Amino acid sequence: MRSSLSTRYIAVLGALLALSLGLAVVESMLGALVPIPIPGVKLGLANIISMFILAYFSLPAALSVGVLRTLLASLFSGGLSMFLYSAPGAVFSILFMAAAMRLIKPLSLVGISMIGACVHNLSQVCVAVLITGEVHLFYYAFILIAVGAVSGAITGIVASTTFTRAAGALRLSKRTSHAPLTNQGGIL
Amino acid sequence: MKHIITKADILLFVLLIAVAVSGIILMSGTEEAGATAVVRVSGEVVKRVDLGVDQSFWVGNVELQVKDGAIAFIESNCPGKECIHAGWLKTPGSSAACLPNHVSVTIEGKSEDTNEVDTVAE
Repeated sequence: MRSSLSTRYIAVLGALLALSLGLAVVESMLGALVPIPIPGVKLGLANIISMFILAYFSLPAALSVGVLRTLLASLFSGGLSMFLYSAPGAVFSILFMAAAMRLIKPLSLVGISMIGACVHNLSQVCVAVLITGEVHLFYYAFILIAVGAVSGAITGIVASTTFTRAAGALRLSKRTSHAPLTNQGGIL
Repeated sequence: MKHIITKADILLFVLLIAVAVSGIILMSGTEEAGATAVVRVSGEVVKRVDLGVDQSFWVGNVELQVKDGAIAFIESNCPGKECIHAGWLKTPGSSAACLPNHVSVTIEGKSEDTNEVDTVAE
């Protein structure tokens, strides 16, 4: 990580944090438009930002933006209980995605995104079991694995089609093999 | 964009769906076996029996047996033997009673919606 805390670095990460919050709002609006019968199911658009930061910045940067996003989102809407549910989901999904990017090379961003979505959903089930003490909630975990695979694939496809252009616009250079940037000039 | 989706991605997707489907099938099997029978004497709960464990036991003058996830009265000193004729109870909500001995058995499901009374008429 070069020039770890330059002004540009902070500014870009701040913009990405704002963007992830915006995506979370868009997502809740989508949820109102298309009601889904299974509670807790969402697309996970904010995960695109986590993957982007993992691919072009660093793991600590992705973790800080992820935790700040869940903190701010719960301050805006749900309160403390929402933070308890969403923060572990963000942290664990980012950790697993970072490990998968490094260790499972054949996976593209689509696969990484599926892992992130499933881990996110599973950690939310774990939190729910810890809070309520209802062990049979683990039954729900299997449904959420299937949901995570589908939603992760969708967000992963969105991610791989937008990352090159976004990174070009931000004049970022490729950090990992999962950043699909091919030495493109800045658009801005 | 050449390779948005790789073979490994498809493999992972299939794997996750397979884990989810097999998990749901497995769990729905254990859910049924997790039902319990509640034995009452004069309305007081005296015993809760897991229908997943085969066993037989006496409650006062009647003998009950659990077998293959169902429960039945198998022995009683009562005159009519109505309780024995009630047969094997399996589904949540069903019940049988031996009135002369004041013994009743009710099956309770694991989920909340099956072991609660909808309404009580007074």
